[in-house]
Formats: sequence, C-alpha cells, structure tokens
Amino acid sequence: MIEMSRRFLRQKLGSPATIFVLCVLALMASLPLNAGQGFGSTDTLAALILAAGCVSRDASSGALQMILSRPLSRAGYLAGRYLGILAALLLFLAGAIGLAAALHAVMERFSGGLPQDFSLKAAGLAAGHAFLGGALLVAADLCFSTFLRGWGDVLAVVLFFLLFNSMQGLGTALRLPILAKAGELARANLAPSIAWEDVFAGQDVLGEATGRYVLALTGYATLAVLIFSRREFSYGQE
Amino acid sequence: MISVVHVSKTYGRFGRRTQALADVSLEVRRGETLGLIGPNGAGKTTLLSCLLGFLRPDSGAITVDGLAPDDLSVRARTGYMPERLGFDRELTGAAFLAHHWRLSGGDRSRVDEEVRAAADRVGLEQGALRRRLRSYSRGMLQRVGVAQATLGNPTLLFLDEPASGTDPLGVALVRERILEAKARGATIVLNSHQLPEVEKVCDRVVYLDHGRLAREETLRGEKAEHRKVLLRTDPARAADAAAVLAAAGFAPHPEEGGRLALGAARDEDVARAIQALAAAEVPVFEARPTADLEDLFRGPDQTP
Repeated sequence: MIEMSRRFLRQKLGSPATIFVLCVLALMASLPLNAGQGFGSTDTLAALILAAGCVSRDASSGALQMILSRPLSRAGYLAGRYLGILAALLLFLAGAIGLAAALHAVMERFSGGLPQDFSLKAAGLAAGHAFLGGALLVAADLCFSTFLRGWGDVLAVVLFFLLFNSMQGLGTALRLPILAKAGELARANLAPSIAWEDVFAGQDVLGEATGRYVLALTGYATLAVLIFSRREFSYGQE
Repeated sequence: MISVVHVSKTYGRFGRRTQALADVSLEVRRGETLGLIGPNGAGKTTLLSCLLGFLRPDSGAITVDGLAPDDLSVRARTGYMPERLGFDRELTGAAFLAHHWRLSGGDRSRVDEEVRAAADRVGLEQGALRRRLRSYSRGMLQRVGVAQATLGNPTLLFLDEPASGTDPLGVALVRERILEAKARGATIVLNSHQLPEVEKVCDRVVYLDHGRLAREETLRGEKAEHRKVLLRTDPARAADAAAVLAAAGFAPHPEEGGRLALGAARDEDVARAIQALAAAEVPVFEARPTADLEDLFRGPDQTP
C-alpha cells in the first residue's frame, strides 16, 4: 500500500505538466490566503487534478494488470492510490501556505506596515478544512475512477455534486417539495457541510455533521472497493 | 499445477456477444513450459488473463496449485509480462524495477543489487536504467519488461509475446531467460506467434482456434509424436542416405537441398540414425529437431 502511494507521488512529481498546474494553483491560492480568505476554490481544483483518472489511466495503460499480478490486493491498491493523492494534496496545501507566507513577508517589507490579514494559524486551519473536504471529494472521484474511462471520473464527480446541489433549488422553483427534500438529504449525507473551525476548536467533534462526513467517506471508499474488486481487466479490451 | 476445467468466457452484452473461450480444459504440470499458439483473436490473451485472475470465466474453474489464480500467495510467486508495454513511462528504468521488486515483497535492503542483476540479465546498461521509460525504444521496453517479470525468480511465469518487435539479439536474450527459468523448475505459460521460439523452449503447445482448444502437441519427451529431425547431407548422396536410414528402420522423407525429414521423437533415435549414416560413410552436415508448428497452425487439411 505504501509502495502504491510512493508510486503515485513519483508519477505526479515526475510530470512537469502537473507540477506546473499545481504551482499556478498554489500561487493563485496564496492571494486569498494572504487576505485571510482560505484557499478559494484552488484546493478543490488541486484535488480533482491530482485524482483525475487515478485508476482508469493505470487500467488503460496496462500498468494496473502488471501491478495486480503482484501480491497486492485490489483494496490495497486503491488504499495506496488514495493515500498517495492525499499526500500530494497535503504537499500542495503546504506549498500554498509557504507561498502565502513568502508573499506576506514581501508585502510587509514593501508596503510600509500596511495591515495584513495573513496568519499562519488561520492558514493552517484553512488547510485542515481544505484537506478534509478534499479527502471526501477524492474518495468520490476514486469511486468513479474504478469504472469510468479516462477523465470520466472528474466529469462524473462534478455532475454528481452539481446534481444534488441543484436539486434543492430546482425543487423549490418547481414547487416540488419531494425533489427539494431529496436534494437536501443528498447534500447533507453525500457532501456534508461541516464547520471544521468548530471541530478543530474541540466543539461538536462527535456531532451529527462529523458522523455524516465519516459515513459518506466510508461509503465512497467501500463502494470503490466493491466495484473495483468485481471489475475485470484485460488489456485487449481497454 | 495449473488446472483449467471447462472454462468459457464471453465478451459484450445485449446481443453483441463474442465467445472468447469455449469449454477450454487443460493442465500445466509443475515445471512444464506450455506454449499457447493460434491465430489472432483465438482467445490466447483471454486465457492468459483468466490464468492471472484479471478476467473471471463465465463458467468452469481455474486453479493454481489448488488455489484461485488471484490468491495473494499465488501472486507472490508469479512473474508476468504483458504484450502491450504501456507502463509507467514517467519512471526511470531503475525506479520501475525497484517498484516491482518491492511490490513482489522483495527484501528492501537488496533492491539496488536486485535491480542491477535484473538489468544485467537482459543486457540493459546502467546508463539506460537512469533514463525514463518514455525514452526507451520498443526493444528496450521489451527487455525491461522481461527483467521485471523475472525479478525474484518466480516459479510461475506468464509471458505474452515477450519477444515481439525485438531484434534477433533480443529474441535470443528472451529465449535464454525462459530457458534459465525453465532450468530452475519454473512453470511457464508462453503466448507467442514466433513459432520457432515456441518450438525451442516449450515442452508442449496448445493450439487455440475461435476460443476452442483445437489441438495439443507434446514437443519434448516420450510423448512427442509430432517432432521430427531434419538431417542435411550431401545432396549428391541423399538417395544413399535415405536407403541407409530405411535399412535402419526409419521412414525418411526427402526434402529440398539434400535434407531428409525423419520422424524421431527421442534423442536416442536421432543418435542411432546419425550412427547408421556415419557407418555407411554418408556425411551429416546438420541435424535439427523441429516440430513443424506451422503445420499445426495450418491444420491437417491445409498442410502442403
């Protein structure tokens, strides 16, 4: 499993295109971070870029078949990929914070003491929030990547989250309370919104929202393992 | 022992179904080298994928020493080389081999030593190991593929077209590695279109056609009925040679260039034929065993 995580990191760090995109995103993230506004949407984008095609590309290239001929369970392979993506996401968040801190230092030096909203503690909390949100997103993406080809997983994740986020509004607009209720339930259970600041402060750690988060994460991971362990792979058919 | 019992496999659904394997049964004994031959689309790769547990048969059963092919203890002693070499192009040759050494459960402290040894076995230079796989030629990818398959000396080796697209040296190198694995008792399943190579390394071949096991031939040992020996003598004395061999109890078939084809399954028969010719002072320039797998490929009705 650890070997699979290492392989993922080596693949990503060895890809100049991915490194370039992540650097641009980190630079973009450093601006809102410096203004004390978290990561903007760069963390979501980074998680999606890192997770895109994480299983399907291995399957289509034939690398997966070679890996699965080794004494590694399919669940172990998925867990390794998942941990690798999370480790890369962590590196991205740390890099963005580092850039924001450097930017803060430069601005403080040249702005003649203008007030800055950057603080390492706030950036760390924002990174924690982004990491946990990313962990859920990546788990959903991994699930789709076990059976969709190419970058179909990213498209599926976007449509999936867009669908149940719009269901509530659509239900209200169409005066269909059932649709609105279904949307609300789907959003609460499949993409639960959590006040991580409170959780980090020790409040409501074992509350309903964190329970839903853990359940959703476990659900995506379990579904991914179930689908992946049933899948067949023949490079002649990909 | 690998056991395949009444295995069938179909691809596709909703009316567009293709039967890839139809009621295939065979056994591969421990230490045996089995060749899978047959035309394109015959089901060889599907059978190999089923043997490795990548595909599940629709019906029938496959076991390796009584275990499922995807059992981790089976995989711990499996080496596999796929036909399509589209793996991890971003990794260097050394990183790729080290990755597979660690995945196979190899001792991490010996990784550098094993990678070097594996590269040496397939003639990959240290400089090449430091380069990324995307810069490798087809022949080099083939070599690194063979190196990863033979890492840790697996006792089960599945090779899918291991020498396709390589130069003659590469072909010889792949053959040497297969013979080396065979000498240490590995059970090998080889899927290849290179019939002369199959003939050189395999103990037995199965001919698949339209997903069915059409024919089976033993190439080595007492049961090798299809094997013959081509004797090359002086063309001017081919008739004498035929007469001497006929008198010694053989039934030689004259072929072009002064060659005589002799049905001789055992090495002892070949030695006896050569001795008879030497005693009659008929020179023998070459004695080459052959199983004429091309005939097997053509089928009995199409043999010229």
